[in-house]
Amino acid sequence: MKSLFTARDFAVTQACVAAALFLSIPLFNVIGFSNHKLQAVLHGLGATVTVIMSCQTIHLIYPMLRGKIGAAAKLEWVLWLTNAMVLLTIIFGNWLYIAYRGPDGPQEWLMYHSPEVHLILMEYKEFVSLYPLPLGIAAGFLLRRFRHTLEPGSAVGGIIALLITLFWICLLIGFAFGIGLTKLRMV
Amino acid sequence: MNFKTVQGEKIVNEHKQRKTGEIAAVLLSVYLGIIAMTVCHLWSYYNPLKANPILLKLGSWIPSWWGIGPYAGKETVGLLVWLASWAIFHWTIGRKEVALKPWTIGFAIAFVVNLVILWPTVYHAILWWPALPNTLPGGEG
Repeated sequence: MKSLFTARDFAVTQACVAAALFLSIPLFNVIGFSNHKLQAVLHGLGATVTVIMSCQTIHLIYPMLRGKIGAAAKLEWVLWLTNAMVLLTIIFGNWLYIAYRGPDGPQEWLMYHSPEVHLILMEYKEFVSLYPLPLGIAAGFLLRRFRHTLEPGSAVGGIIALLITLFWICLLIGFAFGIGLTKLRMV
Repeated sequence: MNFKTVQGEKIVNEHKQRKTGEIAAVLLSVYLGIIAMTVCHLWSYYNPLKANPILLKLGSWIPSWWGIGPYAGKETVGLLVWLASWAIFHWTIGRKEVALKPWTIGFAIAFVVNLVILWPTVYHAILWWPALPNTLPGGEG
């Protein structure tokens, strides 16, 4: 008997379960202790969706680098969607930041109880999380202008891949530090 | 990809090749935006009395800028420097052919150097650490 499932079935199942469970992490805040649930949940959901989409984006650079027909156009499309999510998450992040640094907020609490958390983790994360916006828009622009003349192994393809890799690294820094911060002190 | 077949044999690319200077313009403007934000952040730490009112005013186009604080100004400076320098470089460097290798290596190194400088233990060790609330003179600590 042949297998009941294809490789695609397993991959789709894994992706769906991973997405659902990862999205549940920020959603736990709905039944949590946050004083600013709307901002917190929106920023957390936005960041989670963005990071999941950025993983798909970074995987799409491989066929683009190999010069597969249509790969660059697909990469560009997914990248612009991810860029939109990056912008939205930055806006939610700014909204949440007001509560973070407000009177009796986490910044004040951390400065008394564990200043390193604010002075090192938060002060780094708040800037590095912004970098994906120019990096992603730069890569999207270069794809738009150069994708029709891309050749396998070309310098342009390499630069687009470099920009998207830095985009993904900065998103992951923001994501890991953000989750770490909420574990230590919730807004 | 749009390829046109001529007489069933020769494949001709319809799209004209863009100038490589456009890539240099993109890399340079992204880096300048990022480093402008780092400079503003360090300035705001080095001389808050001078820097923070200016950063607050620059950031005051953002809703609730008063709650976001000088960070709103740092974001604004990064955004403006990135977009303005991109526009300028696109119409200048962007019209020339450039060697991409030095631009790529330069961008990658400069990007990582910025990530290192921005790590707070690095710049606090070079400048100083802030006075912590429970270690102020006259405090219990």
